[in-house]
Amino acid sequence: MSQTASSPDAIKLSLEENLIYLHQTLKGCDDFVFRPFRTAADIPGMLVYSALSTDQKYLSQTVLPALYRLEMRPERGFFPEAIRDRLPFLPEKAFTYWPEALISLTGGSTLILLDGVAETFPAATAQVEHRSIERSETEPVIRGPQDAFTEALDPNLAIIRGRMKNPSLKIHLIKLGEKSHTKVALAYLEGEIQPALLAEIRKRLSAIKLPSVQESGFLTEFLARNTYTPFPLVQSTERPDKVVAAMLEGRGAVLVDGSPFALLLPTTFWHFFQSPDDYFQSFFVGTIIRWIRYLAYILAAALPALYLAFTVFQPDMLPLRFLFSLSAARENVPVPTVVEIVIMLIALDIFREAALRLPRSIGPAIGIVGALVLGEAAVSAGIISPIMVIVLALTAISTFAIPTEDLRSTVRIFSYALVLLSSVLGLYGFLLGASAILLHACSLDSLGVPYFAPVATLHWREWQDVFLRAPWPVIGSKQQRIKAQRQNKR
Amino acid sequence: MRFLRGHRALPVILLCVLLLIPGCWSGHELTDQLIVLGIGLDKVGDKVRLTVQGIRPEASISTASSPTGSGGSDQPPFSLLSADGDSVQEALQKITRRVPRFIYGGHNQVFFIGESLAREGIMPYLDLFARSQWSQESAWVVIARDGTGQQLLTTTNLVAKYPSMGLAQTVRAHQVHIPTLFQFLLHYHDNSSCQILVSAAAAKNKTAPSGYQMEQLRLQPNAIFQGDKLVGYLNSSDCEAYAWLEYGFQGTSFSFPVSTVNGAPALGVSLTGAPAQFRVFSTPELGVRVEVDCNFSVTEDIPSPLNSPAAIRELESKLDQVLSQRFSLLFAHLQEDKTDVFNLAEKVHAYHLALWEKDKDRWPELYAKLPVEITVNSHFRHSGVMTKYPGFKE
Repeated sequence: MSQTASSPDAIKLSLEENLIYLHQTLKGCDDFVFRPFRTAADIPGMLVYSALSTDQKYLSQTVLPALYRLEMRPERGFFPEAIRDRLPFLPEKAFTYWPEALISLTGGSTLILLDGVAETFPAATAQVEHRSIERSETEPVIRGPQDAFTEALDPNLAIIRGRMKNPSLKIHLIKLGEKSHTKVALAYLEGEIQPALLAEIRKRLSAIKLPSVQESGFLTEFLARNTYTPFPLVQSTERPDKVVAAMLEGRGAVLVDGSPFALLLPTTFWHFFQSPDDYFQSFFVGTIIRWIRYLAYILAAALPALYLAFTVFQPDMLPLRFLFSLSAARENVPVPTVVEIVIMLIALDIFREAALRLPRSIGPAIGIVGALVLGEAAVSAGIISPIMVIVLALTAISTFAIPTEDLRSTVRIFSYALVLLSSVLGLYGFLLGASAILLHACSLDSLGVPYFAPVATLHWREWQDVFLRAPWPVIGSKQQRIKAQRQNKR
Repeated sequence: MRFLRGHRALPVILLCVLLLIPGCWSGHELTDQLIVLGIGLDKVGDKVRLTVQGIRPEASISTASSPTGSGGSDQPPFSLLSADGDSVQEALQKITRRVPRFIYGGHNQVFFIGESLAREGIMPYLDLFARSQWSQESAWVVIARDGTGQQLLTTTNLVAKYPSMGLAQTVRAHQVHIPTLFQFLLHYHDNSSCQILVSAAAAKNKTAPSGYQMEQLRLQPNAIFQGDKLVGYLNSSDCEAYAWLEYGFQGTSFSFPVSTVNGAPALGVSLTGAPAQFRVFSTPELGVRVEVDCNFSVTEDIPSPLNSPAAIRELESKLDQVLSQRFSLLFAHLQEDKTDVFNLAEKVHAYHLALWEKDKDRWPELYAKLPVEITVNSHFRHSGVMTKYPGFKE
């Protein structure tokens, strides 16, 4: 910005002129308080603050008395520095232009205006109520730390600092949102993160043009670049331990003020299958559970489509006895299998959405109504075959076994697509669809790191944290794919 | 295709082609299909009678949901559809027109072939199934001895609701070997073109008390085929010996008299062993050596204690002798009928090409006079927990 003293946004010497400007700008904002005062040297001044987000006790007990005792007279060029020496609570920086001063004011600071001073001093009096640290709701673990991020940025960063007591943990603060001026922090471990990667994250962050940033989810599509994919290219988490682990792996974390979800990037497909539990238990258990998650993902995406393909197109691939039960179960169902599946899948998603939106106290009720009453009634009325209920229930449960919500929601898209393909082309259509999904996933990258690395890139040494959860002594010394200079930049 | 090179639409076009070319559009709902479990083929006059056994899902539903679960309905759990035609295809078409469902043969278990048709030659009638879109090559080929295929399809008993399913269970449980359509076709093209298929007859179990005499399929590998024609049956002793040589001993129980005294108790043994080895030699003249290696354990009654190596060796040589007698008898009968069911012709062709080229046209005569040396080598392996039988006094 090229502003000069004559610019209308510049803070003037005269208190009166400044007050006219402020009254004009804050017109209609009834929460702002103008508190006049006179210093000991009889200079008139004004405190401007928001009654909502200001610690008024601090104001009246510390700020105001100090101002009353101020005995200096304004002298050109010297006065502001002298005042800062006398008033220890003032920050280093004073404002000479209104726009930045107003951002500070709306953020909860108190502006101190003095007649004859073309600057305004912000006193850090912000006090915003926020939630205390609670248990993680979206990523619960049985064993391990239970704390989760809250909406306020500073406590979140404090937790990360507390878990990583090291000056190489860098926290880079920027403001995003042309209107909301939201604080955004980029945290990383120097020495672990690749400089090129860091530069890329910074570049993408600074290129973001949004009127307001209310949640870290706003940023994902800017950071991932490739928007037209159902796969999540940026991992989000509300667990501090995950953020610290990711930073040790050479990844960056983006935290947004007002959002309890940190963004971790770059992200590969396999990151979504890692749960903190894996690393806190025996590695045998961790490995098996990880395999079960992969299986659950495949089942959630493929089971309805496979059921359709096998029963309608390729019954010769089913064992005879299984076919017996299937044909007996389906005998009285009036609709074709594909209609049955699509109806049930939609019903499943409606139940899910309903259970999510309902107040927590009656949420479980919808599950009972949906699963037990409706399912049982539909089967006994002969509209839906019992086998279909089993298939759908298994699909739903498999979906819930996927540890991250980001991936959970995408898998449903695939299951619909595969069902539609299977309904036309049978197993061939299913395989075609599955190959298309796989090809698409392999074509993706997250900040230059291939999405299916290290599996698709055949860096088999690193598979020990993908298909296995190798024991800590082994995993600790491993070469990390994101740390190493292995990304193929496009 | 130069105009398409580098074209952005190319992948899309290729994908559309992939979607359209395979012709996999023939999905049928399970409720629109008649699942065929067994097929009967018979000759009636100069027409072929095709009988198709399909499951009735309603029947399985009613038995599944009825509290007794005994399936006490009067109707059988399957439907039989039958039609006559000049060809199998024609008969099948007639059936298809009559049922409101698609005939689905992908899970056909068995072809029951009537004896009269078998004697005439089965190849022309199985041809359709061998070519069919459903892979039916794994379905068994079973000859209905002294009866029709249709009759065999109607045998039901409490243990197996569907005869073909019962067959499947028997095969799985007792390791009975029933040649499949694929195996039949394979041996049809053998040099000897002789093979043995399994025959079945529906019979009531006479030894059970009345009221419990279930109708059962009695399976025996005894139908001798020359080419695709049934030429005769092995007798039951030969049939057993054939199965031992061809498929080996699988815990086979066998009893034989140990002493030469008439009326002496027989010793029961359980035999295990691999199929026999056939070695064709040409010096001094063409002959075949049949080597049978088996292990046995004693299951019943040891009249003399097996407490010395000599006693065991004696028992072994006795068993060798009894078994080789059985096998010699089988070969005598086979050679008499000039049926080379072990496909020795193939061995001669493979190992003695010059001889085969010279004499292949008169192979049946040669086979009838072929010297057969049988060596049985049995080993006493499992003595059980006792060396003396419980009835033997110390």
